[in-house]
Amino acid sequence: MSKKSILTGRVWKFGDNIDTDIIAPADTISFGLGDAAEQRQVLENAFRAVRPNFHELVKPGDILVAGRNFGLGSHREPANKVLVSLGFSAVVAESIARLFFRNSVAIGFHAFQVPGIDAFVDEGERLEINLEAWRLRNLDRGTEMAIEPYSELVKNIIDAGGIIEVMKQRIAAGAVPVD
Amino acid sequence: MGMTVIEKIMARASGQPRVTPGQFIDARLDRIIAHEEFYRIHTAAVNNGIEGGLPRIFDRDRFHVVLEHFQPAIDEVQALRAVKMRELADRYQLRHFRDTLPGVLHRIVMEDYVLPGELALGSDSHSCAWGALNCAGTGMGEHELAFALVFGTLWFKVPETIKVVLDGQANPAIGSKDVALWLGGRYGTAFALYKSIEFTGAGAAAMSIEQRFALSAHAVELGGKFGLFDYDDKAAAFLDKRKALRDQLDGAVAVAADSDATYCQEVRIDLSTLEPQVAKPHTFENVVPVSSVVGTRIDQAVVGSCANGHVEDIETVARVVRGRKVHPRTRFLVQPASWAIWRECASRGLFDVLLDAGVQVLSPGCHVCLGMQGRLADGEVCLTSTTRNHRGRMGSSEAQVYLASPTTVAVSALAGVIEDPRGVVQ
Ligand code: SF4
Repeated sequence: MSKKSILTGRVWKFGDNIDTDIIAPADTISFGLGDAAEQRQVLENAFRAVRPNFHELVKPGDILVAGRNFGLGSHREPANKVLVSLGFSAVVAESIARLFFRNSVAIGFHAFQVPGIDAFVDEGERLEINLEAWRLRNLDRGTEMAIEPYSELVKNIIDAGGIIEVMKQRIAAGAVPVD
Repeated sequence: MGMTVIEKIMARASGQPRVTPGQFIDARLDRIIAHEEFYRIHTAAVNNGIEGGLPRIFDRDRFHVVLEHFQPAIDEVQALRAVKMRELADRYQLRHFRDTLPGVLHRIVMEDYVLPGELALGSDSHSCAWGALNCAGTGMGEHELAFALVFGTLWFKVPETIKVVLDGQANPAIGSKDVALWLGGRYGTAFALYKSIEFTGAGAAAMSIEQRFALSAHAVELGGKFGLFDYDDKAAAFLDKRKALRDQLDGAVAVAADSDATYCQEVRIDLSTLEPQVAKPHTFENVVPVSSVVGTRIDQAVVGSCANGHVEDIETVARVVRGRKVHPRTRFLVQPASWAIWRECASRGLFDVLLDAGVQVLSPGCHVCLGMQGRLADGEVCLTSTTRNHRGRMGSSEAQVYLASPTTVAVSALAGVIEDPRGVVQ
């Protein structure tokens, strides 16, 4: 999935300051075991304060579009993983909180910071993200805009499928010193 | 051209004479600290196909695990996770595994582990709090920490630095919390996105070390990656009480910015003009001067957290409530950040003052800050000096959480409504 060079999906839109307590409410992870039961709970409660039952609405491949500082707040990775389990192929936001962006890269999930995205697309419209041309297309309006390419390093981690995959490659290459 | 504090630290950590903002580096880490997320760090490796978990730990003298968010456990899931953490501590032969004297991670590691001049990662977003001791601490997620723990290195993009210069003398009712809230209100939660903040100026130098803890902790609420102070006598005096790892302390090298360093932005705050600030629900940027919310009913008042659960914060509460009573319709919870704080407050009689006034003193930890205790019902209003007022964080998503300094919280708890502390505290 992470190596696809064109992502196309229907847009779900959110405003500024969507924090990790909205994306994955603290009581649903309750610092649990990260097992299937917890993942289900997080999925069923994702975004509940602003969009109840969101998991019933999102279709595989949909794209989440948000305003400023998406994913601010806690370090919790369940907030990143739940975007994957909701079915999203990417998040595109005016800006993305630092930890949320790093965590996305670390699990191999696409996260783009695109100033101007809010005006570029409305909820329900279809968005195409071209990762070779580094362009966005609003398929309903026929408009296009450029996006900033990933840095080489970020691209490599996402292409590998996340930072643990990079670690596995290094282990396989014998790069892990013994204690 | 000179370098900022973080540029110098990242240059050293990546073995280069100098680095510039925007540059990607592979940095050697001085320290890694994990709380309960160590369990998820381990399972991130296992679930991604690394049998048995992490193949090694980069340095057992520089990796510390503190079991804190979960003690005392609030349910069986937490209790079970703690059991698994203890198994992992054995499995990885950890040298520093703190189990039975919990509190708030950041306070504990500032008491016992982190050092000036270090580049250190924590499994928690408020790890930037360590910047108060001139340690470049920042939070990371579990996948990245799994990588970092094995190799002792991680990628960074060298951040730009914002200089926040504090001048002037604040009204005694104003604390560093008000500075953090003012910055949130004025510049928003993306103020320092991907950036490092340096807090400097005469006002920063005059701040006590605990006031600095609050400001550094809130760097993340301002979007920041680091929130750094200069190392000085106050930091030295705090560190000098440390008993653990004295040899590491002796080897620490603090870092100061060059006088010709480049900053992407400079903000000057004249503390003498600052009013007490309050963040209304549900973001850290929804900030107003206290005067515009005076009279708002509060059902619960809280002083605690990595930002404001320190000795001085509790001292402030004691000063305000001494000989008076908490409003009969308001619950006032005080949660110290560590047992060391508890001991000091207890031995100085501060808890007696609080209890006489009808304040509930809770055992040290994060519980109230993130809604594991003291949860709010629909429509309830809480005024708190903890870190976040995100919708639903402290219970019902229909509850209203306001953030303010410990002084404002204490004064308001007596009144049962939000009150301007300037009339009360002189
Ligand atoms: S006190 Fe609150 S913000 Fe600080 S570490 Fe604990 S839960 Fe997080």
